Amino acid sequence: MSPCVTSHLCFLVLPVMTVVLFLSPIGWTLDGPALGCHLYPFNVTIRSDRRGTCRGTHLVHACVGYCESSAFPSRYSVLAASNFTHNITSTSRCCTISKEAKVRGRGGEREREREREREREREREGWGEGETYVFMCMFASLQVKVRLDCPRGRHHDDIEILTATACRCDMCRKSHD
Amino acid sequence: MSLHASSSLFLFLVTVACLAAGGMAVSSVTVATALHEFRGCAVREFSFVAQKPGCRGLKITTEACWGRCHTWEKVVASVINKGGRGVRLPGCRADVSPLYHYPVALHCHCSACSTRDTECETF
Repeated sequence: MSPCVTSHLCFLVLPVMTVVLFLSPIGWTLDGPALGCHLYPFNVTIRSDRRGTCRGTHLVHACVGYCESSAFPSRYSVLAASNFTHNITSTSRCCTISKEAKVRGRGGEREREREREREREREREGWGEGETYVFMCMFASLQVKVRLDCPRGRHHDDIEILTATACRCDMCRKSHD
Repeated sequence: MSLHASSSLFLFLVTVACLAAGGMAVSSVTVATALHEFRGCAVREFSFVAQKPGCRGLKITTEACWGRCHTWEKVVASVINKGGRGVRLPGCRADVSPLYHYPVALHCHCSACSTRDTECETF
């Protein structure tokens, strides 16, 4: 699995203590993904601890693909502003998450209704149906609740993780590494 | 400033530097591929107007990098190896040097944009 793909998942999962994450890519070809920026499905397995006492699996999506970029001689204004150190300018777009929606693992109907109401509020505020533009990746993806199954009827709280619902070549952002 | 964007149906030549398995020898391979299908980063013709205060501008055609990189966050087309050329700009004031140096891309690849020698922009 490429480091690129791994960083996707690191970015998608909320920081949850004691949760161990395992990924398995689905549908990767030898030639890699098609041109453009597309949803890329993963099975994510979450463990409550290193031994995997409680665990749950959920399908999530990342954004993976090819976006245009170029590097060329810098304009004089760029040269002057960088004390003549940046003699090359690189302009680029990156494959990133562009749309969010809520998906529940095994959440209840009451929670889904609350979510529908939140979406209606967003529409009234002018965001459009189910659409939120990306400012930060954590806000650009959707939350998925993963229920962890435990042995002997023990209970563990659901774990929230994030997944993408739409992708596009857009502004590159600094990674959170 | 613009990369020469010919029709996507045109073929363009990509010069790829291939390191031999032992890393000792370097060979050049010319590959013909459709522009709209191209992945990776390659040397491509680029024209811009070289200008600085006190001189008139001069249109220059050189080699730059262009491509489609498998991006997540920061991987972009980058100049992996560059040369340099110098030209004399026309119409410079007496107190302004007419010399203008600019980089020339010899090899390109997809990599993280380095702010050490590159102005990293996104749009």
